[in-house]
Amino acid sequence: MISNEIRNVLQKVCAALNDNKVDCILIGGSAVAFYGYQRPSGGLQGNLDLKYDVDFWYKPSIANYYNLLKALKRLNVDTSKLEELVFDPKKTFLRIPHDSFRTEFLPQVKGLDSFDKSKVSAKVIQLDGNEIHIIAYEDLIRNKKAVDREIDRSDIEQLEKRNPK
Amino acid sequence: MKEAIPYYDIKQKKVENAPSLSDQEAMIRALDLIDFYAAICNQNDNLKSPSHDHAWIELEYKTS
Repeated sequence: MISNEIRNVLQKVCAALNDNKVDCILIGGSAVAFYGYQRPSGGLQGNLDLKYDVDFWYKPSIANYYNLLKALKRLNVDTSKLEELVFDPKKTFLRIPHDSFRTEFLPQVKGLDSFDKSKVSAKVIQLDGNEIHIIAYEDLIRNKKAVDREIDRSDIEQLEKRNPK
Repeated sequence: MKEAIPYYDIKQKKVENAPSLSDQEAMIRALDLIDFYAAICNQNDNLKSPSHDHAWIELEYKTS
């Protein structure tokens, strides 16, 4: 099980993000799971080479980017290569490895053009003493429509069954 | 009240009806589901295809 590892790391990551006032929203597969989509499927055993991503959309402002760097430093992430780069709100996508998964920080998300609007409509929960903003269901659907892989269309169909209007 | 919808219970490995969960319970369940979701992602080329068309800046932890 990697979920315990994810929960432990997420606790540390969220504490560092909150303490450094990083504006961010949890998106991606974690949000899909939060809204209850679980695919019934067989034959899941045997593949231990899993790399799941926990994705955060961070507000693409310079001030917030530097807050994010402070949070990463507190997590003992080597940010030296970022100090050689100029922050680009369209290109500064950051990925941090953990044993069984990765944490990713995205400055932009397909289908959603205003971080501030999405932050206002995000669902706020408390987990292990940390406040987490989770992308609103409607924004998650917008994002999936914009990405538009076959699996995203399937996600939308299943999520809509579980979250009737 | 939401209609109960069948879902796959990863711990019991069987299909159950969706319970009514608080937000916090839903998040904890979501973390439990990550194993399940990751396993599916790994087996499904569709899911492996990137949802973003950009390069990642790969960071590492400090070693000292």
